[in-house]
Amino acid sequence: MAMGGIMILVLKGYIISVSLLCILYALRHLIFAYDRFMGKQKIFYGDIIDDQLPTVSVLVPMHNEEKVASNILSLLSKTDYPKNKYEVIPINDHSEDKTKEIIDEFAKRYDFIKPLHRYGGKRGKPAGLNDALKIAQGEIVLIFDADYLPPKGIVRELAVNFKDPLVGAVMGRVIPVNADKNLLTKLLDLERCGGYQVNQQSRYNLNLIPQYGGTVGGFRRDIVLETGGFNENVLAEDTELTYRMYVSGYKVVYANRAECWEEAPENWNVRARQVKRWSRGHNQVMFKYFFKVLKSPHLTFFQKFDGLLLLMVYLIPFLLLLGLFDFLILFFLGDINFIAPVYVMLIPLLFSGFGNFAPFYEIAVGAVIDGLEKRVRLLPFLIFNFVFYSIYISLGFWQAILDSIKGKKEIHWDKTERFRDKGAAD
Amino acid sequence: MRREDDIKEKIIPHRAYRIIKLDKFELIGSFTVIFLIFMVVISFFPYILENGIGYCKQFLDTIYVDAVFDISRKDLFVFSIPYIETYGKYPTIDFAILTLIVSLVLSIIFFKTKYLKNIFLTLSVLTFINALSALYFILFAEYFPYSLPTFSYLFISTAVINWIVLMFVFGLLVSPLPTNILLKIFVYLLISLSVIVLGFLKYLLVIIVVKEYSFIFMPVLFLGFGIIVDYIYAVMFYGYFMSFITKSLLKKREEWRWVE
Repeated sequence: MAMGGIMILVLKGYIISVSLLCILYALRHLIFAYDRFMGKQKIFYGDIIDDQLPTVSVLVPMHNEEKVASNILSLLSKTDYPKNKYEVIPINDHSEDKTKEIIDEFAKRYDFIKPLHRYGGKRGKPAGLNDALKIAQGEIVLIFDADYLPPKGIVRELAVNFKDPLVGAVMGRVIPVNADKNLLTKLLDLERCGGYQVNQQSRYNLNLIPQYGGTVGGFRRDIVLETGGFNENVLAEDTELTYRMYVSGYKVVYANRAECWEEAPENWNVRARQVKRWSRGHNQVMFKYFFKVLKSPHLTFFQKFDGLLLLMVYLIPFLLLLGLFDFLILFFLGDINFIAPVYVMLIPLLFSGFGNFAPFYEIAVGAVIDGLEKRVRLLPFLIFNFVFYSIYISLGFWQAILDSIKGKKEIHWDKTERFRDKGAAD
Repeated sequence: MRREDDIKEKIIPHRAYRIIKLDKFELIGSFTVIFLIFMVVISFFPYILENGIGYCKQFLDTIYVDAVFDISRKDLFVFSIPYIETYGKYPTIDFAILTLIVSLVLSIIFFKTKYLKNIFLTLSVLTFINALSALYFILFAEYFPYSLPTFSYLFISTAVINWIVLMFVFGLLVSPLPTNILLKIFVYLLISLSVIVLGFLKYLLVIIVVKEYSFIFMPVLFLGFGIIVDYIYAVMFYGYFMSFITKSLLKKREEWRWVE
C-alpha cells in the first residue's frame, strides 16, 4: 500500500476509534440520566439521627481570601454540630492581605477556631492541608474552600456518613450562589446541576465511582495519614484521594442532600485558568492511577470500567480536538466519508458540558429535578463551550505530560479569583 | 401511616429526594410509539428527499434564470440520495488573499474578545478554518478535491446521516419524559421535521454561497454550518420542552415520589 493510503487509513482509524469512545461515554451518561430520572435511588447516611458523632476537624485553606474569609468563618461558627467534638482550622497560606487579621479576630471569639498561619515552607493547598493534618484532632476531616457558604447542618450531614466503617470519604453537593450573575454563571449552574444531581448521584446509585471533589466533603484522617498525606506535587489532590480510597478498599459516599453554596467564576479568563488547572491535575492522577485501578483487587469489573472512564475525562477533549484536525486533513484530501460527519456531530451532542462532564441530556434531567424551569432553555448555548473547554483542557493535558516527562516537583497552585464584595454574604 | 409519611403526601419532595413517577407500561408504550414514528419517517425519507431537493431546484431555477441545475442520484446504504448538480467557480488569487487576510484578522479579534468567550472562541476557530481554506487555494488550488456537484452530494448525504442519528437520539430522550404521550409525539415530530426542513434551507443556502462566492467557503460551511447548526435548534426545542415539563411538574405533587 502506498504511503498516502496508509496515512488515510490511520486518519480514518483515529476518527473511528475516538467516535467509538465517544459513543461509550454517551451511553454511560444516558444510563446515568435514566437512572437518576426513574431508577432506584441510594440515599446517603445523612438522615441517620445519632448522638454518638465522631470528632470533626474542618479545614479551610485560604490564600489572600479577605473578600470571603469572614463569611465562611461566621457560618462555620454557627454550625449545630456538638462543639466539644468540633474544631475549625483556617489555613492561612502565605496571605498578603487582611486574611490573617480576620482569622485571628474569629479565633479570639471562638475557642474551637484554631488558626494555622503558614509563612514558610511549600506553598499550595496540598502542602497546607498536610500541615493542618498534623495538628488536627478530629477523627474526621472536612474541607471547605474559602469562598463556600456552608449551611448550619452540613457538618452533621457529612460527618454522620462515617458511622459506616467502610466509608473512607464523603462528598456533598455544590451549588453556585451567584448563578444569576451572567451567562457564564448560568451555564456553570447547569453544568453543576448535571454533574452533581445526576452524574454523581447515579454513580453512587449504581455502586460505581462517585468522586470526592476536594471541598464540601471529607475523609478519615487516619487513612490519609497512613497513606502518606496529600501528594504536594499533584494539583488535583481530590481526585487523587478518591482513587487512593478506592484502590485501598474504601468507598466514597455522595451526599446529595448536603448542599453547599459556592462562588462560581464570573469571567471567562478565570474559568479558563480553573479548567486548565483541573485538567492538569486530573491528568497527573490519570498517569499515576490508570494501571493501579486495573489491577486493584478491591474494585469490581464495573467500578474499574467506570473508574477508567472517569480518569480519562480530561483526556477526551484533547482527543476530540485532535480529531477535528484529522477531520480537516481528510476534508482537504477529499477522503471524507460518512464516519467523519457523525464524529463531528457526536462532539457537540455529547460533550457540551466539560466542566462537570455532563452532556446536554444529563443536564436537562438535572434541571427538571432541580426545577430550573427557565435556565434549562439555555441548553443550546452549551455547544459553544466545546471549543473553549477543549482548548484550555488540552493545554492542561499538555502541562501534565510535561510534568511527568520533566518529573517536575514544584507546582504553583493558581488561586481562583473571588468576585464577592467584602462581607456581601453576611 | 406515620406522621411524617402523611406530611410527605402533601409536599413536593426536596430536590435531593425527588424521583419521577413513571408507569412501566406507559414507558414501554412511549418508546414503542416513538420508535414506530422514527421508522415511519425513515421509510418516507426517499419521498421527503425527492420533494425537498425538488423544491430547492425550483427555487434555484427562479433566482438563477441563466444557470443550469440538474438533479442526480447516488446510493448511500439503502437510500438513493438526490442532489443538485450545477457548476461553481474557483476563487481568484486576489479573492483568496483577501479572504485569508480578513479571516485571520477576524480570527484574532474573536480570539482576543473577553466577553462571551465561548461563542467568540468558536467563531475564531471557524474563521481560522476559513483562513486555512484560503491558504490552500493560494498554494494548491489545482489539487482541491471537490467540484460543486461532489460537494453538494457530500453535504446532503452527511445531512441525511445526521438527521437519522439526531432522530434516534432524541427518540431516546423524549420517550421517557413524564408528560402526555400526544405531547411527546408532537415534540418529537417537531424536532425531527424542523431538523429536516431547516436542513433543506441550509442546503439551499450553502449551494448559493458556494456558487456565488466560490469554493473557498466549502470547509467552513461543511463543518460549522452543516452539522453543528442542526444540533443547536434540535436542542433548543428540547430545552423549551424540558422547561415546559419542569413548570408543570413543579405544580403537581402527584407526579413526584420521594426517594425511599
